[in-house]
Amino acid sequence: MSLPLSELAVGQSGVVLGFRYEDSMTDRLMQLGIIEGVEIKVIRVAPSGDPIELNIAGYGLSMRKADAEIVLIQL
Amino acid sequence: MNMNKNSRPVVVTIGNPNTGKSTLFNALTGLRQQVSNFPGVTVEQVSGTAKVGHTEVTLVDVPGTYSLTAQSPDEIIAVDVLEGNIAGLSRPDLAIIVVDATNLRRNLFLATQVLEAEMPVVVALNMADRLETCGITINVHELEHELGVKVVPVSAAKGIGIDELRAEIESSLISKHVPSLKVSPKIELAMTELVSELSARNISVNNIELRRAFIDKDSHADKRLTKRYGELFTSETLRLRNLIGNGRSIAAIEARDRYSWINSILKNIESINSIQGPNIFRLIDRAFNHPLVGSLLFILIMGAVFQAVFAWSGPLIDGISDFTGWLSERAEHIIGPGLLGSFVSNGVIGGVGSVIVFLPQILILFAFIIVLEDSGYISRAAFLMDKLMRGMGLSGQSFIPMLSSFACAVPGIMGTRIIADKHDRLATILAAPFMTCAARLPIYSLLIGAFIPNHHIFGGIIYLQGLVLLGLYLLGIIGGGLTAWLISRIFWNRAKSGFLLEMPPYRLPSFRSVSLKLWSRATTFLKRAGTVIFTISLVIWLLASFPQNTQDTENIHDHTPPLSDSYLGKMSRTVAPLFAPLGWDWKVTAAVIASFPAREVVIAALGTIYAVDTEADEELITLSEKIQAETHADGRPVYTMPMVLGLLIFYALCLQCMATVAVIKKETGSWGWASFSWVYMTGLGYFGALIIYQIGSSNLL
Repeated sequence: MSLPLSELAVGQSGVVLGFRYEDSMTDRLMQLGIIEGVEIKVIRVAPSGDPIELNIAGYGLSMRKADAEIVLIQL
Repeated sequence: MNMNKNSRPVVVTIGNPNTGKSTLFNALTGLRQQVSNFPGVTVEQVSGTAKVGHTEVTLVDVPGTYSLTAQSPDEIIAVDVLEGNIAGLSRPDLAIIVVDATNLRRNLFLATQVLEAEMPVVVALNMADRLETCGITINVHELEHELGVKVVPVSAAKGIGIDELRAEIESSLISKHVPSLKVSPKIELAMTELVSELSARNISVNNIELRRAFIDKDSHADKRLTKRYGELFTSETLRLRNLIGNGRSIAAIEARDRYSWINSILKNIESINSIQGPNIFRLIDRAFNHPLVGSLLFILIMGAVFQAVFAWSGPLIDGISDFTGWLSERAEHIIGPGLLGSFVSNGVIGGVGSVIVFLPQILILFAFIIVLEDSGYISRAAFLMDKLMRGMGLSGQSFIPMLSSFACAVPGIMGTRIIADKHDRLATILAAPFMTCAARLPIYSLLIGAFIPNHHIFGGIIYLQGLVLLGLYLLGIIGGGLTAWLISRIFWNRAKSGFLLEMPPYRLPSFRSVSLKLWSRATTFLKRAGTVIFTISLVIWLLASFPQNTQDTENIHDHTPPLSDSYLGKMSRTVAPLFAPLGWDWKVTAAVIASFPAREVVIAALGTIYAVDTEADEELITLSEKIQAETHADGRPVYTMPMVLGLLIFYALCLQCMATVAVIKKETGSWGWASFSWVYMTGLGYFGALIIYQIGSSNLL
């Protein structure tokens, strides 16, 4: 099953399948290691509901849900 | 190698943020570092001298970056240094790539990019001492073999491996061995063709600059080469991008090729043992990130920072102003009352004093921010504040610059360089000077102390004076928030943000690292703000001391004119009608004009004005008592409640700070934004004071 990264629950993890579309933002995400085949886990959500903190193959990164929506995840 | 100072080899330290790069830089240079301003560059460069073997090298620290695809001003600087595009700084002879050993995969992305820069490279595998705790083993020999350069495990914070690193730097400078690693066959194909096409037309471009221009469409490098070579360059790159990209961006091809290469080599180099012992930092992490506990701790920490900045600095500030006051009195006594005495005591000592009086607050604030940064908490604060800051059109990354601005807007505005989005950055720069800085406090405490009754309200829990001060802080926050919101409305903000923030693991900051960083930032601040404040203080002294009164027969030594006859006094009388609707007489106007370069000068100016005034009653001693007794020519008091409140609001909103104006010009690269900021804020202050005075006076009278 594949779904946008923004819809993963806290504690859930999955592998990056690809992106909804590619632009300069996805170039940036790929440079930071969010790339096909990499495992991502949702660590927590800010008390206000956004942004979210992720673990990208071993390191922590936070991003807004609007950006996480572009990333497609295979559970 | 030449030992001549001007031809020292140049070595650059480059790496991801949060890799301990600055700590390593400090370990290599110690206190032998300075902040240089290279012409044409909007950002200072920290450089220092390091001894490697028998050679002295110039070590240049560039801001941390995740990729050579430069977006934020900080990242552009890093790439410019590597490309040799900084005037006055030659292209580096060697690059030290600082890599976080506990996060090898992502760190190797930038490392492989720098390895293609065609310059000698040494890799510093930092935080090597943490590998065991993290359950990671790295085969250093295998890594050296794959990268084709020397890899030295170090711990910059503990000073481990630094000598080995120095030795490798020295031998690489001698051998000049350039790594030959190339990870993307597709891009290499295009590069070979591009280079041959250009050289056929006698154009030779520095390879790394051409490479980045080709890969990063519309980047700084791409725009520069397009401007330089025009049509020829654009048509060639367009053709080759289409040829190998097939509609995909070259940066995406680069990222995929690099990570697949990195993943393939890491299989034989890195092994991660997921069984990890209990870690105190993981417990701390859990507490700090609990929605309720974490938010409470956040408020507590920020409260402690504020408390420290204001309470601890108090005695130090008093000490410094007492000392400079005493020094200036002694100087005038020793030199005599003439022009020279006044120049030394009021001009020089007064000028220096007005700069160093800010040091206690700045140093305490910087120390806290550095500790919060080094411990990894700052990213958590930005994470927590993002949504709130977004409501004002800013982002979580604006939080720290805004917090710094409560001590001084100058370091706050310099701190916006970490913000990649240029609109977010501009909004932060324009909002930052609204925060109540240290320079506003002297006038606040003078006016509040002298005119706001010290009543207890709400059953004695709250002082009216404190409430007024709180109101002024809120006024600044609201003013800044509204300004940022308006700016983000004007430059309509996209739904997407680009707010990507690394959350580094919690680490215990080392005393040595914190103090070296504090030294480096304090000197930057002194250089930035100090020169401006000092220069302007001298100008104001000149305006208040001239024209010299040579007709004065009573005192042959002192030709200093009474303030009303000085250039400053004359200027104030001319413009005084403009400020009469605010309830100001020419003396208040003169003090405000004198404080145009720096708000805090208003106290000294008022002191001078009322002390110099020959009509002043000799028995009135303190400035506070003097201004309470001050009257207009017709006997009405000058400092009425509406006038005082108006003056407070004026100082809350106006941009009476040359150092801030100069730093806005520098960071936005335009006098346009700097003048806009000044006119906008000072205009707001003027109308705020006008409205309060007019409404207040009509009700009271």
